[in-house]
Amino acid sequence: MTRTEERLTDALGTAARAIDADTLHPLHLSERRRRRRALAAPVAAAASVFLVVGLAAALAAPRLGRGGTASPAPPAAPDRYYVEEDTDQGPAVVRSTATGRVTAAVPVQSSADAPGWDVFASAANGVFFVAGWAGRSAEEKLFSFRVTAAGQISGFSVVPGGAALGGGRWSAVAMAASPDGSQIAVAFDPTGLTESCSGYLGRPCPRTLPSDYIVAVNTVTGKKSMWQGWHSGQDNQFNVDNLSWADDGHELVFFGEQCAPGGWLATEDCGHGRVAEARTLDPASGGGRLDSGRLLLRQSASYPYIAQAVMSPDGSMLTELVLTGKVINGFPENLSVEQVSVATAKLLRVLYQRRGYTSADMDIPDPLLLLPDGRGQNWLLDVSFCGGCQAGFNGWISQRKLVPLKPANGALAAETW
Amino acid sequence: MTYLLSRAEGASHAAGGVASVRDGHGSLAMLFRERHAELVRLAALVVGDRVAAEDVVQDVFARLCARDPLHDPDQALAYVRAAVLNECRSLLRRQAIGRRLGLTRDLGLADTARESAESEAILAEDRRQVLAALATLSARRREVLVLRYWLGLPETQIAAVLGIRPGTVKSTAARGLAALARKLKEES
Repeated sequence: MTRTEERLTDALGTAARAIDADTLHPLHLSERRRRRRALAAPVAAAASVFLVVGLAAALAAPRLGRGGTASPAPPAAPDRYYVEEDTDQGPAVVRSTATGRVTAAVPVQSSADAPGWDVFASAANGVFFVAGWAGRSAEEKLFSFRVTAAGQISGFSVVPGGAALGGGRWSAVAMAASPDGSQIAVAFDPTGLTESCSGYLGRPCPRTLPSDYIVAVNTVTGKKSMWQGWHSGQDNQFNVDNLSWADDGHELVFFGEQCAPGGWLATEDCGHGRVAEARTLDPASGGGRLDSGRLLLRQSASYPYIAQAVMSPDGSMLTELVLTGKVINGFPENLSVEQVSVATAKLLRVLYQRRGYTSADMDIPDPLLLLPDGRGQNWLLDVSFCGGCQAGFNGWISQRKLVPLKPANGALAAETW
Repeated sequence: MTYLLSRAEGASHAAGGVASVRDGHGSLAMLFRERHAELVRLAALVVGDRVAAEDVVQDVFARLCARDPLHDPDQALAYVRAAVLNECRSLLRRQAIGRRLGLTRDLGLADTARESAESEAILAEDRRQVLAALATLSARRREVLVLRYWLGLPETQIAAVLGIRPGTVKSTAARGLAALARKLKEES
C-alpha cells in the first residue's frame, strides 16, 4: 500500500467512525426530509408586490400563444461546430452541429474535476473564449481559441488580462464577448467562498454571501473594469445570470436576480423570492456598482418569471426565456423564447414555445439557459431538472422547433457556438 | 409522521404494524437494520455532509418501501448502495449547478457548525487534509476510492455497484489516487 493509500484508508475510517450509529434518525415515510432548495410557495408569493419599470410595463401582457406577432426571421445557417461540456463526463468538446460527432477536446479541466464550472462565450468573428482551469493550474484563467473548418482547436492561449481571474475565491458564472472579440465581460460569484468551507466533515460557511460582480476585460490591452454587485439587506444578494453586448461593444447588458421581499419563486437562498432585472453598463465608465446601470426591465406580476434575457448585438431587442401559465409542481407549465423591441416594448416574435415542459415527477427546472451564437442570430436552449439529474432537453431553435444537439438531455455544464 | 423502521427496533414491530403491511419488504427491513449506519457513512464520505447523507439514505429507503419488494435479496445490498450513490451524485449536481447559478448556498450549514467542534476533536489535521483533497475529486473518483479504501470492496463489486466495467474501476481508482497524491504533494 502506498503512503497515499494508507492516509486515505485511515482518514476514511476515522471520518466514518465519527458518525455514531446511535445518533441516526429512524426512517419516516410520510414526511420527506430532503433539504432541497424547493421553490416554495410560488403562487402565494406571486400575488405580492411587483414593480414594472420601463420596458416591463409592456411585457406584462399575456403572451404565450397570442396571435399578431411577427413571423420568425428567416433562419440563418447555424455554426458548423459547437462547444459543450456535460455535467457528468467532461471534458469540454467541440461537436459537429449536423452530426454531433466530437471533433476536438478543449484543453481545460472538466468541470467535474476543476474547482468550478468552465464558462464559454464566442464572438461574431469566430473566436471562442473559456474561463476555466488548464493543466494542473489551480488558477482560473481566461483563454481564447478558434475552431478550424475541420473542427479542430487552434491558437489556444491565455487572453491578455485573463490570468488570476477571480483571485481563487470567485468563479466565473457567465460570460459574453463583444462582436469583434476585443472585449469580454465575465460575471463572478463567490463559489470559492463556499467551496473552501464546503461543509465537508466540518468547516462552517459564511451565512451571508456577497453579491456577484462583473469584470470587463479588453482582450488587446488587458485593461479591466469592474462593477460590484449590491446587497439591499441581509441575504438579498444579487446573482448575475447572463451578459450580452450591444451597440457594437459600446454597451454591456447584464441580467440577473436579486433576492428581495416581494420576489417570486422563493428558493432556499432567496427566502423572500427572486426579482429578475436587466440593466445596462457603460464600459467606458471604468466600473462602479451594478445598480448604477440603467434599468431595462424588471419582472412584473403577470409576467413573473423571466429566466434569461439577452440583448441583441445592435441593442434593438431583448431575447428572453420566460415561463408562463398555470403553476404545476411549483413552476409555470409553459416555456417560451420571445423577442421584444427595446424601443417600443412590443413583442416582436415568438421563437419557440413548449407547453407542459415539466411534470409532477420532475424536479426544479435547473438550469434554464438561453445562449446566442457569436452573431446573436441562432439560439441554444438548455433545460434540465435538478441540475442535470433528470431528463431535460437541449438543442438549437430553428423555425419554432428545437433541433436536438448532443447530449440532448439538457445535462450540460456549458454550451456555446 | 410515520416511523416505519428504526435501526434499533427493526421492522417487525415498528410503528404499530406498518411493517406488517410491508411483509414483502422483509429483506429491506433487515437491510435497513443492519446497514443503515454503513450506508449513511458511505453517503457522508461521498457528499461530505452528515445531515445530507442521512437525507440521502432516508430518501432511498422511502422510495424502496413505496415500490415492489426487492426481488433478489442477494443483490439487495449492492442495489441499495448503488441507489445511495446515485442519490449522492444527484445531490452533488444540484449543489454544483445551484452554486453556479447562485441559487444554492450549501447544505448542512447549521448542522455542520454544530458538529464542527466534535469533528475538530476527532479528525487530526492530516486526516482533514486527505478528506479535503478527496472532496475536490470528481464524484465518480470519490465513489470508487471510498468503496475501495473504506468499504474494501473488490473491483468486480465496485463495478457492479457503479454499473461500470472493472477496468474502468481500476483506471478511475488509479487516476483518483494520482490526483489525490498530487493534491497532497506526495508520490502515489
